[in-house]
Amino acid sequence: MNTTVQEPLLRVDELVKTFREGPLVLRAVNDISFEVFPGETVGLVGESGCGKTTAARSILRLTEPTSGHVYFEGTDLTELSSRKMRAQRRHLQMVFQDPDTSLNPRFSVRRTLAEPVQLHRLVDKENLQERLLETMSRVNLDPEFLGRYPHQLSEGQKQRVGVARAIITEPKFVALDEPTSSLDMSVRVHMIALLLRLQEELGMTYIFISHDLSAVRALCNRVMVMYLGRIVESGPTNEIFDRPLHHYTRALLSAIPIPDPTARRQRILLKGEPPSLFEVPKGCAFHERCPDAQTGCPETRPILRDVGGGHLVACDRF
Amino acid sequence: MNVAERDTLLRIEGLNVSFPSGDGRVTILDNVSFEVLGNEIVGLVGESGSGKTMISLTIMGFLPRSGRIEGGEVWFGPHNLLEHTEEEMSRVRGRQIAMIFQSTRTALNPLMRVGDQVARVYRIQRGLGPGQAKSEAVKALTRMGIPNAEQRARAYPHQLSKGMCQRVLIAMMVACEPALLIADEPTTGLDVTIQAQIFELIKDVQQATEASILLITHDLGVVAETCHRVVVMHAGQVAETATVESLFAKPLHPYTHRLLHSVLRVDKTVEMPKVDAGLSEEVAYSVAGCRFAPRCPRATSRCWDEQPSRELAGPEHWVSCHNWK
Amino acid sequence: MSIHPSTVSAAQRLRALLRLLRAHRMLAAGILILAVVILASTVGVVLVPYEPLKVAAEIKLEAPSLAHPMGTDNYGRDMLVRVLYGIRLDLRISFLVAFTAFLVGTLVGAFSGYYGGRVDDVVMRITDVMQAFPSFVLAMAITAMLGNTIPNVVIAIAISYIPFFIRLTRGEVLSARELGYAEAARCVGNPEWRIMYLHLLPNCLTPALVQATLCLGWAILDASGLAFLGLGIRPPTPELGVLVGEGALFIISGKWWTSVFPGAVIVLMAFGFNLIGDSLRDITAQEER
Repeated sequence: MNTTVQEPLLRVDELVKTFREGPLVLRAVNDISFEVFPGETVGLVGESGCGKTTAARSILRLTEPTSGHVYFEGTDLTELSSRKMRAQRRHLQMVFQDPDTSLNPRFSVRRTLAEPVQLHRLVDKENLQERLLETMSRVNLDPEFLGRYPHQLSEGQKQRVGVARAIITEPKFVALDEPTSSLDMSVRVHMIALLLRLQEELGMTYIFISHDLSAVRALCNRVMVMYLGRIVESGPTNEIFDRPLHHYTRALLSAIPIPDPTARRQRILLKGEPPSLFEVPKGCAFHERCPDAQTGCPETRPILRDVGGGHLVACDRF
Repeated sequence: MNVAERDTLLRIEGLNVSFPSGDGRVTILDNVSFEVLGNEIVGLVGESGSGKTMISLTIMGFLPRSGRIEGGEVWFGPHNLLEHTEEEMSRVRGRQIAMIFQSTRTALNPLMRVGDQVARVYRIQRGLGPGQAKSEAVKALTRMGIPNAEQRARAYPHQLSKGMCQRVLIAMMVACEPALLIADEPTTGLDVTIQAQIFELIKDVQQATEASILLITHDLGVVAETCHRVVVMHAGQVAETATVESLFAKPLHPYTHRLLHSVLRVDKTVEMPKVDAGLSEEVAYSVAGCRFAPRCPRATSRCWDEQPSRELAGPEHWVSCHNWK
Repeated sequence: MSIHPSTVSAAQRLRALLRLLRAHRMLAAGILILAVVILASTVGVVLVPYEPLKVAAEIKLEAPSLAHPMGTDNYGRDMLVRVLYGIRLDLRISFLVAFTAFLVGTLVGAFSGYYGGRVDDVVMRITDVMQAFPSFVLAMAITAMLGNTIPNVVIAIAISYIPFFIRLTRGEVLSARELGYAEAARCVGNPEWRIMYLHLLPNCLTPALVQATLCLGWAILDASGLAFLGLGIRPPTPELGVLVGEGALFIISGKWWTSVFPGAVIVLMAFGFNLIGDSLRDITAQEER
């Protein structure tokens, strides 16, 4: 029996990202730590302002982390020089949320896709065309689209170009930022199927950032729920969706409408609205809206604790 | 306007609207027919390009100048709204049919306090005096679930969250006591937990006022949990109309069938499709018959040439398909 | 609502272009004026049988006639050929000025807008100082410092225009750098300079291009103005401002053709460029909506 412990591909350690607006400090990412193992698809979920997109951008150093470390295959990305970081980017890619603004309107599809390959000098000139065609076919795009410009493509096609750009360097790690949110309902499942197939073909590890929990359920094997810059719950997908423990997770899941009129559920409605990221409540960030808040909640910040089976919750009730 | 429960409030018949495109015109709404009865929430569901927003604009008389109504009628009570003059329409809008849109903040006047905006509706539409209008406005905001309504009424739109702004808009809409409310994707851009709150509010409002709501959405989950009946649209054509229970239990139109089986869900892991068919997104506006024919597993040559007529397939269940049986 | 675009045929594109030209008669008029002027100066110098510098005292200050359609000046030189040569020189100067100012201004503006911070502050304060002077006065001061050669005139006027290009480009880049494709470019491994100059700048050039066409018109006015005052090109080089200056002395005695013709041509050219620049500004503003 093989007893070697697998090393995580990505390890995030006490990551913090704050923005300053004059005297005010916005705590977008407020001390998060987690690991991602090779081949996994980890979902990072939460509503707007929870910090999931900022976390992903900080991990990839698209924005500089305020403090904390990010280890990729053992190397601390936060300590690298710009040049060394650029070299690492071959394996750290991202599919961006809005296909309209993430493609340079003046670049043809060919130029957008060829650039990463050329920057990292992955193939020589003769083989570039072959690589482009191979990638286009992987994402099911007609090779004749190589000559087109973004304004000549539909939303779904632009999204696929974004995916193609991310995978053309055959990266080990891809962050997917809301890749289904701008797509029609009947098309979403096809995007998920495509992402799964690509993952298998190229052996990639995914982080899937989304507020669309139905897409997360379809794609991820593990889920982390964020609220106001912190991870409040994490664990295997089915475990989190079927047996959510944290009150925020339960409210979040109950809020999502199910396309089945016979499934009458008890909807947990939270009090009020999320507080501003400038004024994160002390102690547990969620205590003001929690239906089960205790006296200790406004005082101590709960730590993520394992309650069995890899299911972690940040709540003093457990 | 007081309407008995099963009376028809709004009846759209054979509506045809075209828009210029390239060299000619494209029929954005093709022979659209459906009804909204009294005291019910009807979901108008479809994907992008299905024409659902165009319908609401046509009803309200907000069709852009390039749009041309090629035929059909929009019956609201005894009147055909399409034959109304602008002046007659302005009397219908607000008082009898009210509408809320997707972009909440831009729908509110940024220079006016929200309480004053709601009060203004009471003054104009219900003829109340300024003092009375103000107190009614605060009461309305409270009914919409806005805490500290008296204080919040003094806020400007940019000081409120998007969810709050949407509640203010709903308050303004309800203040007119219209018989028909049109809500076009009212929760776009709102967080999931706020969305849930807004839909609960919409359901409460409907129950309290017994008005009818035409809810335009692309989300089947919202339809299942909020609506009584549903109209499914595809590429400007009505595919199927049924009660919510009937549609989800037994979808008859192949498009509805595909939609229900491919939609992602939170309560279970959906099976992945074997073939990647998601690319054929070019909407088939040029097909003379049923526009789903290019992607329909049951399509016959008749489907391409002849537009199917509306058939009654079950209690309150209509399908427009040659091969639904 | 979205109707997915299928590939637009060449015929449709041609039709769209014609529609654009018709709708923008200003642009058409401007192009027409300039086409006539440029054609005249290129073809005309070949056809007209006189030399611009050849002195012929016997025919001095003759009124316009068939032999000399624009008359002769006080040295007996044919006015028409001098005006045509003047047009050529002024066009050369104005294109050089616009090109130089555009090049320097957009590169500096892109850099400043992209990096922001202290670099941006310094650049902005310098442009503030430069723009505190009316551009003509600035050009006057620089020509006085450098001397009256053609290259110096080009440099002086170009320097007075550079601040405009810096501001326009900086503004565009400032907003563009927040856009998704800038971040995507960084994500695939582009170094900062490539993101700035290859990704962002090409998308931010529209206002600068419009400004460049306007500068073409302004440069003619500035160059001829400087020459008129004796600060720019000096006689006997045929430049429109020089001609106006030389002819100004004779207006009082009724010999109007020596300054009115070159003056009218200056106005015509500036007007033509202005029409083009203004209509381009309208067209691009409309497209952005």
